[in-house]
Amino acid sequence: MTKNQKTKKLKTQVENAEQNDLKNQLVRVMADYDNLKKRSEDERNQMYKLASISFFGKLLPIIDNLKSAQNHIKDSGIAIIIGQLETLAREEGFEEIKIDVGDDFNHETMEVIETIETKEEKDNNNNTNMDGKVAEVVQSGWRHAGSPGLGEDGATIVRHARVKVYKYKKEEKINE
Amino acid sequence: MSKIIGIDLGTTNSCVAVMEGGQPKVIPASDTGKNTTPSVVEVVKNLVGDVAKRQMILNPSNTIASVKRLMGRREDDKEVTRTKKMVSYKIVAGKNGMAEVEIDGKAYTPQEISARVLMKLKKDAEKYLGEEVTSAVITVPAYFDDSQRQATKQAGEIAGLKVERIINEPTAAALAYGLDKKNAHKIAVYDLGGGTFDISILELGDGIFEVKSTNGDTHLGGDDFDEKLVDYIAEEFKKDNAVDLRLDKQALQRIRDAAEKAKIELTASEEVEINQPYITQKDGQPLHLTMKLTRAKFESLVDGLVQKTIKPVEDALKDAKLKASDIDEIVLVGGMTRMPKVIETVKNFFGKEPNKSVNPDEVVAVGAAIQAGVLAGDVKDILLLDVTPLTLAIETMGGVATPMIPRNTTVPTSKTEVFSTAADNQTQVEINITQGERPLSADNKSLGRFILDGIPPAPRGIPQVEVTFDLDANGILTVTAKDKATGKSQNIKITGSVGLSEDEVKKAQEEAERHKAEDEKKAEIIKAKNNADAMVTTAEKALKDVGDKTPADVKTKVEDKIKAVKETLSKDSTKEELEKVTKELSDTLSEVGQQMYSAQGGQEQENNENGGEPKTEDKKKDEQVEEGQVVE
Repeated sequence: MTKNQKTKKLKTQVENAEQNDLKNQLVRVMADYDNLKKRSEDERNQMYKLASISFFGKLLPIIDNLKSAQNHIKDSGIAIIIGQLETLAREEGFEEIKIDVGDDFNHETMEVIETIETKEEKDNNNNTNMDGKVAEVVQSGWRHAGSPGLGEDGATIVRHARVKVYKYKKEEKINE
Repeated sequence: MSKIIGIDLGTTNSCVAVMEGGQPKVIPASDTGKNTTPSVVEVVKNLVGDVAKRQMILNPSNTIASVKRLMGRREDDKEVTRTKKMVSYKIVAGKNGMAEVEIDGKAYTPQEISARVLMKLKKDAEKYLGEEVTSAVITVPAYFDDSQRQATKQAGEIAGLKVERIINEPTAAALAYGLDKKNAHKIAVYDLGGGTFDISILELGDGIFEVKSTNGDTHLGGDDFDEKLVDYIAEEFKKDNAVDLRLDKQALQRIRDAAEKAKIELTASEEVEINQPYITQKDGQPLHLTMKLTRAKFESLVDGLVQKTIKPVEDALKDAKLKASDIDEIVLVGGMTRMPKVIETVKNFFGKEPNKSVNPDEVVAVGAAIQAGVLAGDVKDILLLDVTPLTLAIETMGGVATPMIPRNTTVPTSKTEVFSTAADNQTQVEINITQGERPLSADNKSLGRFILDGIPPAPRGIPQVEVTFDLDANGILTVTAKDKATGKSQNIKITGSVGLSEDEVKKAQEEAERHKAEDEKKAEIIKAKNNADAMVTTAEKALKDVGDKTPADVKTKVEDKIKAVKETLSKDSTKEELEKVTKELSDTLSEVGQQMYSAQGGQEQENNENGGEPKTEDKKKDEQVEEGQVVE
């Protein structure tokens, strides 16, 4: 092989390597772009859902206040308005989380704001073990049904229910 | 090679980020969608983050928060003693006297607890990336000693993460702003988080950050600000109603929420209204909490807290043997640094504008991800993508610059839009290409112009001229105009002038900003003029088509109104004047229509059948494309 031939061969090799590099980069960029397209489509859907959830979340305190007002003045007109709001919420896929006093505390859907001390082993209905049961629902919880992604059963929690929970009084002092 | 994630393992909140396509991206928590996760762990049921926080009151002795305060410290350490008073879980002396947490008689090391948080972040990252994550860069406060760093590293290992590097939080923040590449030598990082305040002075040499000094207050943060505000609201309410809302946990919770919301809103507005109707009852009557809070009032409430940060800053500078004016860059970290008063205080102290563009809750994780990217070899300049610095536009009726390629568009790119003629029987159009941010062509730089002629005579608005802007990766702009009826096309190639120096771009942008108000006014007048002009054409056409079927009085009325519009157009009229005469003409014109319909009645259907789809032939012609000649 002459020197010229050698040079030429080396040159071709370098060029090939460069070409492969570029091709690699191009493929990576194309793949990145394709993935980005898919993700932005997902994110767009997610955004749409989150926007409506976020808006409804801001509306909830007003619905609460209306209900407080209704508890106080008991006006049939306001009752209708609350009904309308609740129908609208249902139509948009929102539902109130059903919680009854005596239900077990569920960390997925509830937030404890206070514990109620209880020393009794049995409650009035002779049911045992009130420890860890809901004593009062202070603020209702809401979820958006059928929106996959967040939350346990495929539903997104818009607002966790705020509850008071029974707890056995245990005398214990720590970090003295 | 799998991705390396960057983790900010914080005292109150933690955050995880990763390099994606050369950019750092914060990964949202899979359960809440939020970008940060509370560093709270319920050990027995193994709950981490928001879910652990929600049941904290129910299981206070099983739920561990602020475990970072115990990391790598002995049980008799001053900080541990202080933490003991704050938390409701049990802290004991473990192996070698190190602080440990005891739950139901079982001892857990702070490493094990932190590992639970790290495991959750790892899982969130894996879910987001769709692949297994095995390595991480984790940040620690600059003042962490060797045993604390070691403990943090162990926490990572327990979580199944190979800890590629432990880096300082202030260093990560500086990396997030790219300060390693800037000519900044002395950097101050001011970190006011949820529960701690840290100030670090860094010095950069050969791309490596050296921590010159650190200082701070381990018990000063956003929670203290919230508490001040809650107290104020409760006191004010007590003054008016003689009821202490703090005694009612339900009411207290509502005030806390309202205070946090108010604090956030006051970073943007000067005044907020706090409304909590039916907050409590007194003598069977409901009481409402309504009050206004100004930013000035809030600032005066927390002024003491903000001022408390200054002494540590002074001490840190003294230790680093520097003056405030020696500092080249200041970086803000932590949610509380969003507060305008904090920004102002820092700015006044250093006499410089601090860096605050990166979300202060995420900046440390972002920096950790950048460091992780460097270690993984992600942060390479694969292919630098350029953007066009200024808007490229085409001049349309009334001298308006209609944008074709907006500024900051990544090149190469192309854009096609169809335009038409402005006058009846116009046989040529002039394509004027401009560059700049002002709404009128005359105020922008003209890059070139050419004429497309040979358009078949037709009423205005009918011819279709397709204009394509094509900007290649080298900044060469090719503009093509094609008459869709004849297929005839012309183009122009503009090289060089598309690329501008930084100064030129800045000048153009500043100019646009300065003239924004008057430009908008001008553009509105032109829009009104164009509308008026179009209305005149419509009216004239209507009179020509159906004038003979229109009652004479209506016809005269329309003609008068046309005259009025034309007169207003010829004068230097305001937008309102133009809109008024245009509306009058439009109203009168609709009378013509009404007259016609009431006269014609039953003929409507027949007309509809003849009126549909007149353009089928045109459409066929569109497809015949010819190469046009090149101007220039």
